[in-house]
Amino acid sequence: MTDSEEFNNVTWDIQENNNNIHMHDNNTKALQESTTTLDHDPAVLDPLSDIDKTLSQALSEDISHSFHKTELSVTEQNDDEEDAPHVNVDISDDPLDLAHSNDNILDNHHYTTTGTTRTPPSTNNTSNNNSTYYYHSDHPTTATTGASSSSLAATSSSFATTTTSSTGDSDWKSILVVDPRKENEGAFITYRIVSAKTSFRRRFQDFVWLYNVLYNHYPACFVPPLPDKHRMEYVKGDRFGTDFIERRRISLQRFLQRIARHPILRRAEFFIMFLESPEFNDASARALREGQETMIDTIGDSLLNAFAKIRKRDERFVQMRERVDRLEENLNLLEKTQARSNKRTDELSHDYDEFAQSVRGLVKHEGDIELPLSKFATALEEYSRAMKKMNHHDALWLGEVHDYMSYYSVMKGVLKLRDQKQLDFEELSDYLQQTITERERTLHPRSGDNSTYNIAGYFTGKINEVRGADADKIKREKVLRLDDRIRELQDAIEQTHEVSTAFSEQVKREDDFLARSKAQEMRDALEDYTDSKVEFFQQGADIWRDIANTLEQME
Amino acid sequence: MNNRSSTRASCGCTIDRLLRQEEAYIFITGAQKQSDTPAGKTYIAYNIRICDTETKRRYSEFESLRRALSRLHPTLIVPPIPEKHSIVDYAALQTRVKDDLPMIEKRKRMLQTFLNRVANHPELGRDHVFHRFLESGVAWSDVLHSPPLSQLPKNPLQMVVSKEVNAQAHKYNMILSSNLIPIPSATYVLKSPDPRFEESEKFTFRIANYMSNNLDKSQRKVIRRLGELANDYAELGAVYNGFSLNESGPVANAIEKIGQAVDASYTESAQMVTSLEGEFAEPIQEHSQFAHIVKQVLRFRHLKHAQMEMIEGSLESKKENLDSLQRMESEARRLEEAISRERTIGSNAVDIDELNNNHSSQVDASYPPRRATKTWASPVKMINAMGHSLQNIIDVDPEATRRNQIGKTKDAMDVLQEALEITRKDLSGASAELQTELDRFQKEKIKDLRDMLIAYAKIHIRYCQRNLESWQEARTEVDKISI
Repeated sequence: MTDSEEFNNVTWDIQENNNNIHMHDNNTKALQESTTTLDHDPAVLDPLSDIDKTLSQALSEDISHSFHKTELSVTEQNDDEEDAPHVNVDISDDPLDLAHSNDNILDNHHYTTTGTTRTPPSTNNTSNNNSTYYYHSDHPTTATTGASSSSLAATSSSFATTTTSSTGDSDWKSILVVDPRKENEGAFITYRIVSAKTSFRRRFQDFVWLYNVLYNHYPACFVPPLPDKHRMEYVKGDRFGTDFIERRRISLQRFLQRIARHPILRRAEFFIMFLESPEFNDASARALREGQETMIDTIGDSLLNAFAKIRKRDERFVQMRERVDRLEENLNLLEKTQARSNKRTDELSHDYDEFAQSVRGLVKHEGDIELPLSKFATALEEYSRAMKKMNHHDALWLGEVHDYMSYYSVMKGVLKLRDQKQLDFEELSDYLQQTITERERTLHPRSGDNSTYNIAGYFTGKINEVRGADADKIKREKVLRLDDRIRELQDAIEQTHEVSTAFSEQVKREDDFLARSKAQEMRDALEDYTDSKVEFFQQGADIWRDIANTLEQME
Repeated sequence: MNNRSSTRASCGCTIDRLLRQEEAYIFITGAQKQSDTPAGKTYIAYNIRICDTETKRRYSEFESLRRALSRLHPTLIVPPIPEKHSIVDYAALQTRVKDDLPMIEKRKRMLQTFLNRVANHPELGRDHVFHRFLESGVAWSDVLHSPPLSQLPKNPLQMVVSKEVNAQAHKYNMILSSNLIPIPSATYVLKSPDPRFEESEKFTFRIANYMSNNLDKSQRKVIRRLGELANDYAELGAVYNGFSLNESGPVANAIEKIGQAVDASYTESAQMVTSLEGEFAEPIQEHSQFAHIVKQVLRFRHLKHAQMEMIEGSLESKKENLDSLQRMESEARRLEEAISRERTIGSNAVDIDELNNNHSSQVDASYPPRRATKTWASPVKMINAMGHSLQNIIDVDPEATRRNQIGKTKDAMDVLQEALEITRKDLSGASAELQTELDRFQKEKIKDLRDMLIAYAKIHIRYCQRNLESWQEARTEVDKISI
């Protein structure tokens, strides 16, 4: 019991020192690994790219997704007479992989971040190293483009922008979605995507592809949401209504601009391809993309752990989560009330029109004041027109609010995934602890007061005696095996922890980025919103002042 | 107390002088709950002030004043007062009606408009009854029980209304209230209607219809929607304010300012609803009431016209009656002359006549129908017989009766003739006055409409201006968001 408590403490230690994540004894080893990888970067790259696609895909999946389910699957080893579980870190029968399994994962993982750690890392640098970590599985990209070095370059440069996040921020404004056009006799609509360099037409499906690949390859990033599919419009048949298309165009533009503002996503191969590839719509390119788009199923994991609670709550994320919940609630309420007043204003403008009609009708009966009446009616109509225009901007703001809500639900999804990562780590730690306890018991069978174990141990001893085996030898072998497993587990925990921590760090950065991005978007949106209000009331005051003067002069 | 009956000329009383001042305006300065006896029913008394004369009148007294004015001047368009509570209102609010502040405010506004409209009316403004309404220390019931109101005929057709006729106004006219004068019913169809007034009636009807069915409805819709929108803004403002609490820094400030601007929109919208209600919706209501009053005045003229035509009619029939009586009289006279001539020719004939007469009288008494079958010896005998039988049928002294009737008919015709002259003059005078009144009213209505439109525009200017200011502030705050 005392032992387990001690280990417990170690675990907490790891948790609490996020900046100092490596377990004390493993610290230097990890750093060495990281530097070795750095030293022969091209060498590492080559074998890696030689590994067939499925393996690399599998590897990247392992990184992206919870580790222990696929990789560190806990299985009962039947060839072993022990009933203790064994950790299998392997994912394939490939001997190379077996040998490298752990290292590969680490390599793969470190290799994305090596750009910064060119100087021999100190503890401080390690934290930096980790803090720049993000999930980036290069292999599919490499396979697609066939240029691994460029992929690396892209990766390191994206890292560079991560640290100096605000450089080149203004580029995003040049990305526009314009000129929606019906294609193929109205089967679908294409939009012209204008970027700084080029301009191509893309359809909604292409946006969906972009979203999916980004979502799959950058699980720790808040990938901006796409506008809803708007199923109702399909049903109602006004899928290609001007109003609908215009709203979608604005949302799509917002989607691209959000990506372009994102320090990591804007460097993504997929995004650049989407913007700039002339062959994007070739049949072969399309077929190739199908593969990238396949969703990696994370549901299984989430379901398995749906009822598991994180034991060590990270206050930062708890707060983040609470903040998002509050914001969502606010936005939800805002959308609802804004939509209502929007509708009412629309009705009001119609009422003014109707009233104008009535005033015009009065001319028929009161011919004596024809001129004032018709001028007044004109003023009413102008006012109503100005109101409609203002209301249109209100509707745009409403769309903005709506897109915000989807952005926040993306954030919530990522936060959930982060919890998952932490859960993985915690479960592994539990398992390690169990294994260690078992080793202790094997070494000192009678020291503990656990009667159950003693009985079991006694029986095992007896059976072994019957078999004529050397009890000491068996015990020694078992301890050795357990030692192996503990080592493996410690490695795995280290990785998982690293993954979890790095994920957390990225989420933190994403949150900062989103806050900045939001301020930017909020300002633009609120500018438009308040501008249209100011313009409307200015116009209104002018219209009414005009008509009041005209009427007063008509004695 | 000055109790003399009001005339069309200036009465020269204090109130009259006050009203003739430049820029004289009557204000309703307040309204209080009052009760005459400690345990009595409470009512709302309105404080009326002109210059420094102040008096208190209750709604029912306003109502009574309006009724009095329209009875005194049936050809004038007496401005409307706010409508009574409907029974529905009473049922819904029960005893709390008197505490209904918006209603009291509305009445204050509309009663003030009423008083000033009367004061500015070229004739009503000079009516002493109106002056006494404004005078302090005058009990309204005293005014009601003193001339001219106490002497006012029940039916306005029984008095002379126009200045054309040189007769005392606001009193029973001896001739017009004679029982010989026919009283027309409202359904009477004029034989020769005046096309001008027929047109006026149609016009008024059309306008009233349009005003209440179209214009009033559509402007009401705008006001109602504005009210709903005001509520939406109230809610939206709260949402923004809550939102700003979850943000920080300049974004929070900007959203807070937007919340304040939306709140201001709420206040301004609510304010605009009240203003439009008072300065546009109420005048439109007032005008549909006006249309109703115009119809009543036109109806009175219609009755006056009907009265004249009916007098003409009965004069005509009296004349026919008289003619036949006179024809009979002269026939009888001719007969008598012929008889007396016959008498001088032969006395035998008289005996025969006498015999015959007696005989036939007896026969007539027992078998009257057989008279026709008789064969007459001579035309003289036949005529004689006829004369006697006529006398027997009508009465004992047919001649006296006939003469009496002729006299009566002639008297009646004299009265009718006089009445016809009066009504004819009165009608033409009243028509002319009514026409002037209608023209004046139309002009006033046009002016009112224009004023209403201007008020509508000004309310909107204020609304836009206020909103503009608060949104400009919000706009400035948005600019402070730095990225």
